[in-house]
Amino acid sequence: MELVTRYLQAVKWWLPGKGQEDILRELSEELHSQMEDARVEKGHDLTESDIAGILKKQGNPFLVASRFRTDQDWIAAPWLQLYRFVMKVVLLWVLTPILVIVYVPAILTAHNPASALLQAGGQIWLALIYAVGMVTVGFGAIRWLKPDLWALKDWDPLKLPPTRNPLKVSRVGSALEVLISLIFLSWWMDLPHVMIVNYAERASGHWTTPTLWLSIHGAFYWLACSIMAATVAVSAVNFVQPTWTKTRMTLRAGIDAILAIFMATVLLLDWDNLARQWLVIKSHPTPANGDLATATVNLGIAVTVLIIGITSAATSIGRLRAVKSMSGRSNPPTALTTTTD
Amino acid sequence: MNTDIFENLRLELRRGCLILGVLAALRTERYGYTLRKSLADSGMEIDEGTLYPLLRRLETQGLLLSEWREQDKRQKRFYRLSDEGTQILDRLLVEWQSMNASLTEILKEPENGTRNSILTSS
Repeated sequence: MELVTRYLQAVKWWLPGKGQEDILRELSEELHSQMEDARVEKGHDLTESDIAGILKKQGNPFLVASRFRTDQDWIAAPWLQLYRFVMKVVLLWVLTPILVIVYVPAILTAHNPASALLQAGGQIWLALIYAVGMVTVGFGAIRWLKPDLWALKDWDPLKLPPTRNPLKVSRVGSALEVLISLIFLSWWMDLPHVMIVNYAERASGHWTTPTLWLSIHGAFYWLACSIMAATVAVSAVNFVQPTWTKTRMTLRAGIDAILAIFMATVLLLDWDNLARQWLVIKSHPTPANGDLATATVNLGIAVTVLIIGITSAATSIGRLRAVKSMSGRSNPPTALTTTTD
Repeated sequence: MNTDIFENLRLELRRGCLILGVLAALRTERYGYTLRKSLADSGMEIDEGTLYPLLRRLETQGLLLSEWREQDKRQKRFYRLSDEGTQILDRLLVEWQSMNASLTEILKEPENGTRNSILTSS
């Protein structure tokens, strides 16, 4: 049975989002009917090898899923889902970070950011067209080249990836979250002391922290404390009970959303200062290089805050979607959960 | 003989017939597995990878109705022909019979005197 769950999980990966659960339930039912007939025919319970044979006959999960797509056009039939996946990886995880690393510092450090943004916009647009074009032409070529799909047909059901439980929480991850949140919380609570008491010592040393930090600290003290405390609480419960519940997932989505808003507020508050004055490096041998080092460090901090904000917003949306799907699961059981029962 | 060409033409020929077969079989309510078996018993083998997407498409087009119901302690999705599906099936059958009659007539015609009739020789 576990093999069937792994098979359905592999099919699910390639299925279109709409109607996914319905397709899996029906596929699950078909497989169970076939297994039942095979069991009656053989007169004994099926071995793993028998089940693997049924799955093999059913077809490679990638090909099975591709037949349920109704929006296939000039990208050859089985490849559309893979095309979308590759496109997502290229745009989100390759192109976006490269563009952020290349262009954001250039725009923020430019004398005329608006003009730099406009100039970068043109280049980004070209990079996008190039990336999308290359991937699309590559997949479009598959239709004409008609590669032999032997690799997809010659597959082994016994080598399918193990079952994933999307609601399972990593204990190590939870422990790390608790640790990092506590470290940040203690640092944040002690910040005025760090800033004020040690300020003179630091100012005579290598670097100084402008009063900007104190104004942020004053304005958002309780908000940051609450976010960290809530994160510690949820992660601690997750460590003890490492399976997401609807309540905990909703709470965590809320925390992520508030964190995203917090980061956005900090950045929008006084961007010009924030991008330049998180930290001032004083004791560099040459003043020009010292300025450059200060600008680079400040930009790095500002971009980090931006990335935390974007990541938190994306994570929050992802968690809310998970909450929605958890609500759906309370109706009829899904194919994947049915087979594991 | 080019196997690829034959295979492509055979698939094209089968595609329309499968739709007719599925619609006709679903005048009686069935779930996927029994529908497939019933078609196979009648000599119309259809694999799961073809049947289920076809059923979804026909349902989307309003020709089929479906309903999840429990049978033998398992939830199964039962399909049956909708009113619109019944009308379409009747019209398609008339069309198919007409085409079949025409084809039979064409195949009866002698081909330059070399072969009398494929139908009579087979």
